[in-house]
Amino acid sequence: MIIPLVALGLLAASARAAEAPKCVQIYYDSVPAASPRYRHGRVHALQLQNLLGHFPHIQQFVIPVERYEKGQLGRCAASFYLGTYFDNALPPDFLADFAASTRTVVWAGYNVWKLPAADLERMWSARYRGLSGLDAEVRDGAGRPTFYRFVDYKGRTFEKYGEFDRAAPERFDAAYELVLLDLRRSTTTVVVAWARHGGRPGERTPYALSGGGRWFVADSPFSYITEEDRYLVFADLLFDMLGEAPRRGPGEKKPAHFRVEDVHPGLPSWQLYGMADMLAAAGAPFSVSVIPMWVDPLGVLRLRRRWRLAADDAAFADFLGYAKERRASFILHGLTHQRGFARNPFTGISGDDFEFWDRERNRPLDGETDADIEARVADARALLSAAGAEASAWETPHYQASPRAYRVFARRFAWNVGRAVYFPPAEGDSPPEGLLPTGQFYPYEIYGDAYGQRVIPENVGNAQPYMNEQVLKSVTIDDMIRVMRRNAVLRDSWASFFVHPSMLDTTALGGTARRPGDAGELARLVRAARDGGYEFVSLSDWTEKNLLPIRPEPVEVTP
Amino acid sequence: MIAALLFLLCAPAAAADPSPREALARARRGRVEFLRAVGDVGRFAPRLPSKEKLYPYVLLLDDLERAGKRYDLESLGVDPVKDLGEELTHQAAQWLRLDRDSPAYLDAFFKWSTNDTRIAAAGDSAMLAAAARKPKELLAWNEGALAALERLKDARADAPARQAFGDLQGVVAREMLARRAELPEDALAEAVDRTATPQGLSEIISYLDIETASASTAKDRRALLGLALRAARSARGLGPSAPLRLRADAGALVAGAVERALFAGDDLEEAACRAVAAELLPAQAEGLLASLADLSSGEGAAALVRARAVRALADGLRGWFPHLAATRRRDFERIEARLAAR
Repeated sequence: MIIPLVALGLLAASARAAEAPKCVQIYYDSVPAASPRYRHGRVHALQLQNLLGHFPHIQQFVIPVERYEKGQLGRCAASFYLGTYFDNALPPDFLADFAASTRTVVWAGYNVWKLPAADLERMWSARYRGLSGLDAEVRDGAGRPTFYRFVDYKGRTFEKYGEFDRAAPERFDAAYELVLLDLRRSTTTVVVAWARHGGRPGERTPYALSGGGRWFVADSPFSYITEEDRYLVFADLLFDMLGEAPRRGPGEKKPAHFRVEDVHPGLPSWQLYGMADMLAAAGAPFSVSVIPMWVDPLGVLRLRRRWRLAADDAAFADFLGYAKERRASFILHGLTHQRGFARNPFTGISGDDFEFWDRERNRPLDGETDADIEARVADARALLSAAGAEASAWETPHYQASPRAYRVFARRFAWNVGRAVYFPPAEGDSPPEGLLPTGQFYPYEIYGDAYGQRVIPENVGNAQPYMNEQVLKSVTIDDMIRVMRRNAVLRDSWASFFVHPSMLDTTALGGTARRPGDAGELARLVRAARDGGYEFVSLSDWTEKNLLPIRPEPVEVTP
Repeated sequence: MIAALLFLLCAPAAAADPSPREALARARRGRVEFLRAVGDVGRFAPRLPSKEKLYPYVLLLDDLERAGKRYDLESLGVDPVKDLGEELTHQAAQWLRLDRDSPAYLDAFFKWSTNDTRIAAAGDSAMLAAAARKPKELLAWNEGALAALERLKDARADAPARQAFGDLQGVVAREMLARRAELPEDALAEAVDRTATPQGLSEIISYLDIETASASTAKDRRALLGLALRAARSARGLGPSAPLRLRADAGALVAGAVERALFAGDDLEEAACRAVAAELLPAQAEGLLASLADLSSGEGAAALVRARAVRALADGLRGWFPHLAATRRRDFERIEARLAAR
């Protein structure tokens, strides 16, 4: 039978339409005329894209709002506009379509005042009042200026970051602005999260609201994100905005992940066995992040041997076997977790320094190539394997690498554990001088971040009861428990954290123990996670059972 | 019982330590295998009980280094062959024989050892060299000590290590001079010529000074003057960084040897006489010039010989220190007058 070519084309088109995945459009401020070039809008869009990686069946479109084409909002199930550039000139078609859209639309941040007052009234029974500022007159208990710091959501309080800068104490770092809307009583508009002022009791403003499929969020939630941040509220609201069901039902336990961090042959074995014993006694599967080659190239520790291989250190290999018998999974945490004979930037010792990022100059390592990175990853895997363990996932040392390196990790490992840093994608592998990377963590697993990585989240942080040159903020066990409890109201959220074996040292030495090896505090952390509705998972089992395909390649419209 | 025997027969043998060839073959299989091969050798080789067993692994180091160059080890913050080399040579130092070990082995030892190991090895070697009984052994030690100093120029040697081997060379040179009657002259001369450390030369000069004072024959005095000139020339060869004291001692030795020979009426070679001036400090030259004026008188055959030597010495001084012709004109006139009057 001969089918006319035209008919064939029609058949193909109709098949494509039938298979067309659900899609989401992200509009951002690119501000083509801005000088110097404005990049933050794209970075925020990228962070939203990353969160959308939790829904890998969704096709993403990323579009500068200035390139909006009339009717485009009707194309996808949902569209987001991230207003990050104050008073950006928005296309009239975009404003008109937003107000008239029958699909879900979300406006987050600035420029909502560009919508006609009548539309604001009709959509949300709201009137634009202005922007909130920083109140330097009214200080909080810690002497900090106040602002709308708190966000109440689902009976929990989330908190925006706001601290004096450690390096420049006269500077106050915070995303303190919010778009203020006055609301009339309405039967269709629902405020799902309220922002509360930190210095003026009783004063609040809508943080997130919805009405008739249109959402409003009072800021773009990607600035200064922390483990306790309103960013998590936004991440949770995505389920509603997108009409997606959580992967884990209401009665189902949420996953908890205990990671024993920076484990290498240079560590005292009593700490390693102490960790494994505590977790085995608690019946909790756990993960061990292994640095398979330990080095002290500058001789800082004054040891006779300056390098050790996991593969050839019998005592260390014994520990890996011991941990495996106690339901440990293994994560490859770099090859050396440091770089060469240099301080990058701390001591040069494995576990202290960056491996895939020039931290001194905040840029990719000079002359890095895919082949070099591939070789390091392959060697790390070979050494771990020779020590009798197989990696279930990769974890980027200090979570930071160049874009090129992240892409290699994505190619070589089905999963990456932890957090990552991101640049505007158009900047290539060597981001411009002075542009600092933006870090992002996730409350839930991600099937394809900007680099194409599947990510197991780390959203609770780590026990750091003391501050030092590497630790800028102390975190206690109680802090971690508070975060886990708060996050329990979030859909699909994990309780994922890590603990260094040195936490089994006494408090005098910076650990959490009353006497060396006392794991009481860490056991309390495990109990608290369980009490909060989480269940510790074996990473190797979990990753195997949940290996969904990576999200489709996003479609990007260039500015 | 049979089961036990079967078990023993079937029990796997403990993995044998890899031979150097096996270790190298493994090291060439990739970066991880390289690191594991080097680490493996580092685990057993430093405990090997004899030089016969250990030396082949020291000789392996250069090959391992070459193999490692492909692996960008610097980016890992390790220099495993250096670490291994330091460990192996530290252990091997107890068996080091500068007089017997092969040049290839000595090259490897000096390349890979630390300065601490080298210094310890120099001390042990000095004791062994001092105990050498046969002239041939001494010559071998001399060769070994001099070669060691050459090797240290290429190695990462610090000043104390160089000094330790300079001391060793001095010990050997002194022992050779003490046995100079049993040693070929040219070997002695070469030993003095090649001595290039202040310590070694100082030992030689001190020894020659004592010997010169007690030399009883013209032949002996001539030979000692020859060695003194060589030692002084070697001291001069050290350049401006050499201690002034060494140059002063060398000059004094030469001037003293010449004066004694002249006083005894020895027949000195004209070339040797002309060479003296270059080894003297200016003040020593003036002192010798004054002595020559006194020594230029006399009668008979001995005086004739001496006169020839005095003239050659005076010419040498005038040539090397041209200003003396003006500043010490009277001394030259006295010498000329006495030589003419004779």
